[in-house]
Amino acid sequence: MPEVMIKLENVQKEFRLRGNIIRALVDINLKINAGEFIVLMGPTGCGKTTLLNVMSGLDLPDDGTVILDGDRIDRASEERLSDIRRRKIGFIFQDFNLVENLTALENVEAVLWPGPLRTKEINNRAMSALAKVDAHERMNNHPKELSGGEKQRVAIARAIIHKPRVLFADEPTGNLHHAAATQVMELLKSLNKEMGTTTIIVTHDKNLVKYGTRLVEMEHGRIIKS
Amino acid sequence: MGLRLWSKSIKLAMRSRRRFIAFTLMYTVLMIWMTWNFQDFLYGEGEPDVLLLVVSIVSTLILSMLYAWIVINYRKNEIATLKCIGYKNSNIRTIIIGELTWVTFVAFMIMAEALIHITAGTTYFYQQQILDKKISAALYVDNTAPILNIWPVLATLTMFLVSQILGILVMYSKILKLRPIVALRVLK
Repeated sequence: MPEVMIKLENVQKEFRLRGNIIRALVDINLKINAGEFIVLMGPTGCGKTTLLNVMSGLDLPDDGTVILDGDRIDRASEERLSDIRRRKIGFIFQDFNLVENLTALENVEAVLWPGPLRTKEINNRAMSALAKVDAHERMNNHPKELSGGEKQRVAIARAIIHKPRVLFADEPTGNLHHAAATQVMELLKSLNKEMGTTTIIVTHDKNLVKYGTRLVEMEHGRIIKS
Repeated sequence: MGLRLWSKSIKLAMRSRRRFIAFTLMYTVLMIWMTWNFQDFLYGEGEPDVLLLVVSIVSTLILSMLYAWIVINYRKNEIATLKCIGYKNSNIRTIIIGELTWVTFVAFMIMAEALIHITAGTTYFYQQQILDKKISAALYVDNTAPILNIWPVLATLTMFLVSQILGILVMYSKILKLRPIVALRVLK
Protein backbone atom coordinates (compact mmCIF):
# COMPACT_ATOMS: atom_id res chain seq x y z
CA MET A 1 0.00 0.00 0.00
CA PRO A 2 1.51 3.37 -0.99
CA GLU A 3 2.56 5.77 1.75
CA VAL A 4 0.16 8.71 2.11
CA MET A 5 2.14 11.95 2.09
CA ILE A 6 -0.71 14.46 2.32
CA LYS A 7 -4.24 13.87 3.53
CA LEU A 8 -7.02 16.45 3.60
CA GLU A 9 -10.37 15.73 5.21
CA ASN A 10 -13.40 18.01 4.95
CA VAL A 11 -11.25 21.09 4.54
CA GLN A 12 -13.08 24.43 4.38
CA LYS A 13 -11.71 27.91 3.87
CA GLU A 14 -13.55 31.18 3.51
CA PHE A 15 -12.40 34.73 2.83
CA ARG A 16 -14.17 37.98 3.49
CA LEU A 17 -13.87 40.45 0.62
CA ARG A 18 -15.65 43.82 0.84
CA GLY A 19 -18.34 42.35 3.06
CA ASN A 20 -18.89 39.28 0.86
CA ILE A 21 -17.95 35.81 1.98
CA ILE A 22 -16.00 33.86 -0.62
CA ARG A 23 -15.85 30.11 -0.13
CA ALA A 24 -12.34 29.38 -1.40
CA LEU A 25 -12.29 25.71 -0.38
CA VAL A 26 -15.47 23.70 -0.01
CA ASP A 27 -15.38 20.29 1.63
CA ILE A 28 -12.04 19.22 0.20
CA ASN A 29 -11.04 15.59 0.60
CA LEU A 30 -7.77 14.55 -1.01
CA LYS A 31 -5.04 11.96 -0.55
CA ILE A 32 -1.64 12.37 -2.17
CA ASN A 33 0.78 9.47 -2.08
CA ALA A 34 4.54 9.71 -1.63
CA GLY A 35 6.38 10.21 -4.90
CA GLU A 36 3.36 11.45 -6.87
CA PHE A 37 3.65 14.39 -9.26
CA ILE A 38 0.38 16.26 -8.92
CA VAL A 39 -0.74 18.95 -11.33
CA LEU A 40 -3.39 21.10 -9.67
CA MET A 41 -5.38 22.95 -12.30
CA GLY A 42 -8.37 25.17 -12.61
CA PRO A 43 -9.48 28.63 -13.72
CA THR A 44 -8.36 31.80 -11.97
CA GLY A 45 -10.01 32.16 -8.57
CA CYS A 46 -11.05 28.51 -8.29
CA GLY A 47 -9.07 28.08 -5.04
CA LYS A 48 -6.04 26.13 -6.25
CA THR A 49 -3.46 28.46 -4.69
CA THR A 50 -5.48 28.49 -1.46
CA LEU A 51 -5.42 24.69 -1.50
CA LEU A 52 -1.64 24.72 -2.02
CA ASN A 53 -1.26 27.18 0.86
CA VAL A 54 -3.37 25.03 3.15
CA MET A 55 -1.55 21.82 2.17
CA SER A 56 1.82 23.43 2.83
CA GLY A 57 0.86 25.07 6.12
CA LEU A 58 1.24 28.60 4.75
CA ASP A 59 -2.43 29.14 5.53
CA LEU A 60 -4.70 27.43 8.01
CA PRO A 61 -8.11 26.03 7.09
CA ASP A 62 -11.25 27.24 8.87
CA ASP A 63 -12.32 23.65 9.33
CA GLY A 64 -11.11 20.15 8.52
CA THR A 65 -7.90 18.18 8.92
CA VAL A 66 -4.61 18.48 7.06
CA ILE A 67 -1.93 15.86 7.62
CA LEU A 68 1.49 16.19 5.98
CA ASP A 69 3.89 13.26 6.30
CA GLY A 70 2.26 12.19 9.55
CA ASP A 71 2.18 15.70 11.08
CA ARG A 72 -1.18 17.35 11.64
CA ILE A 73 -0.62 20.90 10.42
CA ASP A 74 -4.10 22.44 10.39
CA ARG A 75 -3.82 23.64 14.00
CA ALA A 76 -0.04 23.73 14.39
CA SER A 77 1.70 26.77 15.89
CA GLU A 78 3.83 29.02 13.67
CA GLU A 79 6.95 27.70 15.43
CA ARG A 80 5.98 24.10 14.68
CA LEU A 81 5.09 24.96 11.07
CA SER A 82 8.51 26.62 10.61
CA ASP A 83 10.12 23.44 11.82
CA ILE A 84 8.05 21.30 9.42
CA ARG A 85 8.79 23.65 6.52
CA ARG A 86 12.51 23.52 7.25
CA ARG A 87 12.65 19.74 7.38
CA LYS A 88 10.01 18.53 4.97
CA ILE A 89 8.91 21.18 2.48
CA GLY A 90 10.44 22.96 -0.48
CA PHE A 91 8.78 25.96 -2.16
CA ILE A 92 9.05 27.22 -5.70
CA PHE A 93 7.39 30.56 -6.45
CA GLN A 94 6.16 32.12 -9.65
CA ASP A 95 8.27 35.23 -8.99
CA PHE A 96 11.30 33.15 -7.92
CA ASN A 97 11.58 35.11 -4.62
CA LEU A 98 15.36 35.06 -4.54
CA VAL A 99 17.08 37.46 -2.13
CA GLU A 100 18.52 40.19 -4.35
CA ASN A 101 21.52 40.91 -2.12
CA LEU A 102 22.71 37.31 -2.10
CA THR A 103 24.46 35.40 -4.88
CA ALA A 104 22.84 32.31 -6.40
CA LEU A 105 25.01 30.09 -4.19
CA GLU A 106 24.15 32.08 -1.05
CA ASN A 107 20.44 31.97 -1.89
CA VAL A 108 20.62 28.20 -1.93
CA GLU A 109 22.82 28.03 1.19
CA ALA A 110 20.48 30.36 3.09
CA VAL A 111 18.03 27.49 3.72
CA LEU A 112 20.61 25.73 5.88
CA TRP A 113 22.15 28.75 7.63
CA PRO A 114 19.93 28.46 10.73
CA GLY A 115 20.61 24.71 11.01
CA PRO A 116 23.34 22.75 12.78
CA LEU A 117 25.44 21.89 9.70
CA ARG A 118 28.97 23.24 9.36
CA THR A 119 29.53 26.03 6.84
CA LYS A 120 31.71 23.81 4.62
CA GLU A 121 29.01 21.12 4.49
CA ILE A 122 26.36 23.73 3.65
CA ASN A 123 28.57 25.04 0.86
CA ASN A 124 29.10 21.54 -0.57
CA ARG A 125 25.40 20.77 -0.48
CA ALA A 126 24.49 24.07 -2.15
CA MET A 127 27.01 23.50 -4.94
CA SER A 128 25.73 19.98 -5.45
CA ALA A 129 22.11 21.25 -5.59
CA LEU A 130 23.09 23.91 -8.12
CA ALA A 131 24.93 21.31 -10.19
CA LYS A 132 21.81 19.12 -10.12
CA VAL A 133 19.75 21.88 -11.70
CA ASP A 134 22.58 22.85 -14.03
CA ALA A 135 23.01 26.33 -12.56
CA HIS A 136 26.45 25.88 -10.95
CA GLU A 137 28.16 28.06 -13.53
CA ARG A 138 26.13 31.06 -12.36
CA MET A 139 26.61 30.46 -8.65
CA ASN A 140 28.47 33.72 -8.03
CA ASN A 141 25.93 35.85 -9.88
CA HIS A 142 23.26 37.89 -8.17
CA PRO A 143 19.61 37.30 -9.19
CA LYS A 144 19.49 40.52 -11.24
CA GLU A 145 22.26 39.08 -13.44
CA LEU A 146 20.28 35.91 -14.20
CA SER A 147 17.58 35.19 -16.78
CA GLY A 148 14.11 34.07 -15.68
CA GLY A 149 14.89 30.42 -16.40
CA GLU A 150 18.18 30.60 -14.49
CA LYS A 151 16.46 32.27 -11.53
CA GLN A 152 13.89 29.52 -11.42
CA ARG A 153 16.59 26.85 -11.55
CA VAL A 154 18.35 28.51 -8.62
CA ALA A 155 15.00 28.64 -6.81
CA ILE A 156 14.58 24.91 -7.47
CA ALA A 157 18.08 24.26 -6.10
CA ARG A 158 17.07 26.23 -3.00
CA ALA A 159 13.92 24.13 -2.71
CA ILE A 160 15.76 20.79 -2.85
CA ILE A 161 18.97 21.48 -0.88
CA HIS A 162 17.48 20.10 2.34
CA LYS A 163 16.04 17.04 0.57
CA PRO A 164 12.39 17.84 1.31
CA ARG A 165 9.64 15.24 1.37
CA VAL A 166 7.26 17.49 -0.58
CA LEU A 167 7.88 20.16 -3.19
CA PHE A 168 5.20 22.83 -3.68
CA ALA A 169 5.33 25.00 -6.78
CA ASP A 170 2.92 27.85 -7.40
CA GLU A 171 2.79 28.62 -11.13
CA PRO A 172 6.50 27.78 -11.53
CA THR A 173 6.46 28.59 -15.23
CA GLY A 174 4.14 31.59 -15.02
CA ASN A 175 6.91 34.13 -15.65
CA LEU A 176 8.94 32.11 -18.15
CA HIS A 177 8.93 31.92 -21.93
CA HIS A 178 8.06 28.59 -23.55
CA ALA A 179 11.58 27.13 -23.86
CA ALA A 180 12.53 28.01 -20.28
CA ALA A 181 9.18 26.72 -19.02
CA THR A 182 9.77 23.37 -20.72
CA GLN A 183 13.27 23.13 -19.22
CA VAL A 184 11.95 23.89 -15.73
CA MET A 185 9.16 21.31 -16.02
CA GLU A 186 11.57 18.65 -17.38
CA LEU A 187 13.83 19.41 -14.43
CA LEU A 188 11.01 19.11 -11.89
CA LYS A 189 9.93 15.85 -13.48
CA SER A 190 13.44 14.37 -13.39
CA LEU A 191 13.91 15.47 -9.75
CA ASN A 192 10.60 13.82 -8.89
CA LYS A 193 11.79 10.56 -10.47
CA GLU A 194 15.34 10.71 -9.18
CA MET A 195 14.70 11.85 -5.61
CA GLY A 196 11.18 10.51 -5.18
CA THR A 197 10.05 13.88 -3.83
CA THR A 198 6.29 14.30 -3.85
CA THR A 199 5.70 17.28 -6.15
CA ILE A 200 2.59 19.45 -6.33
CA ILE A 201 2.38 22.20 -8.88
CA VAL A 202 -0.39 24.73 -9.29
CA THR A 203 -0.96 25.96 -12.80
CA HIS A 204 -3.59 27.07 -15.26
CA ASP A 205 -1.43 26.02 -18.23
CA LYS A 206 -2.96 22.89 -19.82
CA ASN A 207 0.37 22.07 -21.50
CA LEU A 208 1.82 21.11 -18.13
CA VAL A 209 -0.67 18.29 -17.49
CA LYS A 210 1.54 15.80 -19.35
CA TYR A 211 4.29 16.12 -16.73
CA GLY A 212 2.11 14.98 -13.84
CA THR A 213 1.30 11.48 -12.66
CA ARG A 214 -2.13 12.74 -11.56
CA LEU A 215 -4.29 15.70 -12.46
CA VAL A 216 -6.42 17.37 -9.81
CA GLU A 217 -8.95 19.83 -11.23
CA MET A 218 -10.77 22.48 -9.24
CA GLU A 219 -13.74 24.74 -9.82
CA HIS A 220 -15.48 27.12 -7.44
CA GLY A 221 -13.48 25.86 -4.46
CA ARG A 222 -14.31 22.19 -5.07
CA ILE A 223 -12.28 19.33 -6.51
CA ILE A 224 -14.09 18.18 -9.63
CA LYS A 225 -11.53 15.64 -10.80
CA SER A 226 -8.85 13.81 -8.90
CA MET B 1 24.24 29.01 14.26
CA GLY B 2 23.33 32.42 15.73
CA LEU B 3 26.84 33.63 15.00
CA ARG B 4 26.58 32.45 11.39
CA LEU B 5 23.26 34.25 10.91
CA TRP B 6 24.74 37.35 12.54
CA SER B 7 27.72 37.32 10.18
CA LYS B 8 25.39 36.87 7.21
CA SER B 9 23.31 39.81 8.42
CA ILE B 10 26.45 41.99 8.25
CA LYS B 11 26.96 40.83 4.68
CA LEU B 12 23.34 41.66 3.85
CA ALA B 13 23.65 45.09 5.51
CA MET B 14 26.82 45.93 3.57
CA ARG B 15 25.28 44.83 0.28
CA SER B 16 22.24 47.06 0.64
CA ARG B 17 24.75 49.82 -0.08
CA ARG B 18 22.62 52.93 -0.37
CA ARG B 19 20.66 52.24 2.80
CA PHE B 20 23.83 51.27 4.68
CA ILE B 21 25.78 54.37 3.66
CA ALA B 22 22.86 56.74 4.24
CA PHE B 23 22.08 55.48 7.73
CA THR B 24 25.73 55.09 8.77
CA LEU B 25 26.36 58.73 7.83
CA MET B 26 23.21 59.92 9.58
CA TYR B 27 24.12 57.93 12.71
CA THR B 28 27.68 59.30 12.65
CA VAL B 29 26.56 62.92 12.42
CA LEU B 30 23.96 62.37 15.12
CA MET B 31 26.51 60.62 17.37
CA ILE B 32 29.00 63.48 17.06
CA TRP B 33 26.27 66.00 17.80
CA MET B 34 24.99 64.01 20.80
CA THR B 35 28.50 63.52 22.18
CA TRP B 36 29.05 67.25 21.95
CA ASN B 37 25.78 67.89 23.76
CA PHE B 38 26.70 65.39 26.48
CA GLN B 39 30.13 67.03 26.77
CA ASP B 40 28.45 70.40 27.17
CA PHE B 41 25.92 68.98 29.63
CA LEU B 42 28.56 67.26 31.80
CA TYR B 43 31.56 69.56 31.54
CA GLY B 44 30.40 72.79 29.95
CA GLU B 45 30.65 76.15 31.60
CA GLY B 46 27.49 77.87 32.85
CA GLU B 47 23.97 76.49 32.40
CA PRO B 48 23.95 73.31 30.26
CA ASP B 49 21.66 73.36 27.23
CA VAL B 50 19.29 70.58 28.23
CA LEU B 51 16.97 71.24 25.30
CA LEU B 52 19.70 70.49 22.74
CA LEU B 53 20.54 67.25 24.51
CA VAL B 54 16.87 66.21 24.59
CA VAL B 55 16.47 67.08 20.90
CA SER B 56 19.49 64.94 19.98
CA ILE B 57 18.18 62.01 22.04
CA VAL B 58 14.71 62.28 20.48
CA SER B 59 16.29 62.51 17.01
CA THR B 60 18.22 59.32 17.70
CA LEU B 61 15.07 57.54 18.79
CA ILE B 62 13.19 58.69 15.69
CA LEU B 63 16.06 57.69 13.38
CA SER B 64 16.34 54.24 14.97
CA MET B 65 12.60 53.68 14.59
CA LEU B 66 12.77 54.89 10.99
CA TYR B 67 15.63 52.53 10.18
CA ALA B 68 13.82 49.60 11.79
CA TRP B 69 10.64 50.52 9.91
CA ILE B 70 12.47 50.77 6.58
CA VAL B 71 14.29 47.47 7.12
CA ILE B 72 11.04 45.62 7.79
CA ASN B 73 8.84 47.34 5.21
CA TYR B 74 11.27 47.21 2.30
CA ARG B 75 12.08 43.58 3.02
CA LYS B 76 8.61 42.16 3.68
CA ASN B 77 8.81 39.82 0.72
CA GLU B 78 12.33 38.71 1.62
CA ILE B 79 11.37 38.02 5.25
CA ALA B 80 8.22 36.15 4.17
CA THR B 81 10.31 34.06 1.75
CA LEU B 82 12.77 33.22 4.54
CA LYS B 83 9.81 32.16 6.68
CA CYS B 84 8.58 29.96 3.82
CA ILE B 85 11.92 28.15 3.71
CA GLY B 86 11.76 27.45 7.42
CA TYR B 87 13.23 30.48 9.21
CA LYS B 88 11.79 31.03 12.66
CA ASN B 89 10.94 34.49 14.01
CA SER B 90 14.04 34.29 16.19
CA ASN B 91 16.22 33.66 13.11
CA ILE B 92 14.78 36.72 11.36
CA ARG B 93 15.25 38.77 14.54
CA THR B 94 18.94 37.75 14.65
CA ILE B 95 19.42 38.94 11.07
CA ILE B 96 17.72 42.31 11.69
CA ILE B 97 19.53 42.89 15.02
CA GLY B 98 22.81 42.05 13.30
CA GLU B 99 22.16 44.64 10.61
CA LEU B 100 21.12 47.38 13.05
CA THR B 101 23.99 46.80 15.48
CA TRP B 102 26.50 46.67 12.64
CA VAL B 103 25.37 50.07 11.36
CA THR B 104 25.62 51.45 14.93
CA PHE B 105 29.08 49.95 15.39
CA VAL B 106 30.42 51.30 12.09
CA ALA B 107 28.95 54.75 12.81
CA PHE B 108 30.54 54.67 16.28
CA MET B 109 33.96 53.81 14.83
CA ILE B 110 33.68 56.62 12.28
CA MET B 111 32.61 58.99 15.07
CA ALA B 112 35.60 57.95 17.21
CA GLU B 113 37.92 58.52 14.28
CA ALA B 114 36.30 61.88 13.54
CA LEU B 115 36.54 62.98 17.17
CA ILE B 116 40.26 62.13 17.25
CA HIS B 117 40.80 64.40 14.26
CA ILE B 118 38.58 67.12 15.69
CA THR B 119 40.53 66.91 18.96
CA ALA B 120 43.82 67.14 17.13
CA GLY B 121 42.53 70.16 15.22
CA THR B 122 41.20 71.99 18.27
CA THR B 123 44.34 71.16 20.28
CA TYR B 124 46.45 72.68 17.54
CA PHE B 125 44.20 75.73 17.41
CA TYR B 126 44.29 76.33 21.17
CA GLN B 127 48.01 75.68 21.39
CA GLN B 128 48.55 78.42 18.85
CA GLN B 129 46.26 80.71 20.82
CA ILE B 130 48.19 79.94 24.04
CA LEU B 131 51.53 80.47 22.33
CA ASP B 132 50.31 83.79 20.94
CA LYS B 133 49.11 84.58 24.50
CA LYS B 134 45.60 85.24 23.25
CA ILE B 135 44.04 82.84 25.81
CA SER B 136 45.19 81.27 29.09
CA ALA B 137 46.21 77.60 29.26
CA ALA B 138 43.34 76.91 31.70
CA LEU B 139 40.78 77.78 29.03
CA TYR B 140 42.24 75.16 26.71
CA VAL B 141 41.24 72.36 29.09
CA ASP B 142 37.65 73.64 29.22
CA ASN B 143 37.29 73.71 25.46
CA THR B 144 38.75 70.38 24.42
CA ALA B 145 36.71 68.03 22.29
CA PRO B 146 34.69 65.17 23.86
CA ILE B 147 37.25 62.50 22.96
CA LEU B 148 39.33 63.60 25.95
CA ASN B 149 36.36 62.79 28.19
CA ILE B 150 35.23 59.20 27.90
CA TRP B 151 31.84 59.70 29.59
CA PRO B 152 30.10 61.70 26.85
CA VAL B 153 31.26 59.11 24.31
CA LEU B 154 30.01 56.21 26.43
CA ALA B 155 26.74 58.02 27.17
CA THR B 156 26.20 58.47 23.41
CA LEU B 157 26.94 54.82 22.69
CA THR B 158 24.53 53.76 25.45
CA MET B 159 21.80 56.06 24.12
CA PHE B 160 22.21 54.64 20.63
CA LEU B 161 22.12 51.04 21.85
CA VAL B 162 18.99 51.76 23.94
CA SER B 163 17.27 53.40 20.97
CA GLN B 164 18.23 50.44 18.76
CA ILE B 165 16.67 48.06 21.28
CA LEU B 166 13.48 50.15 21.20
CA GLY B 167 13.53 50.08 17.39
CA ILE B 168 13.98 46.31 17.41
CA LEU B 169 11.12 45.87 19.91
CA VAL B 170 8.77 47.90 17.72
CA MET B 171 9.91 45.97 14.68
CA TYR B 172 9.76 42.54 16.28
CA SER B 173 5.99 42.74 16.66
CA LYS B 174 5.84 43.40 12.90
CA ILE B 175 8.05 40.37 12.22
CA LEU B 176 5.76 38.21 14.35
CA LYS B 177 2.70 39.44 12.46
CA LEU B 178 4.24 38.95 9.02
CA ARG B 179 2.94 35.68 7.62
CA PRO B 180 4.96 33.57 5.18
CA ILE B 181 2.03 33.59 2.77
CA VAL B 182 2.99 37.21 1.95
CA ALA B 183 5.82 35.76 -0.17
CA LEU B 184 3.20 34.48 -2.60
CA ARG B 185 0.98 37.54 -2.49
CA VAL B 186 3.30 40.52 -2.71
CA LEU B 187 4.28 40.43 -6.36
CA LYS B 188 1.00 39.09 -7.70
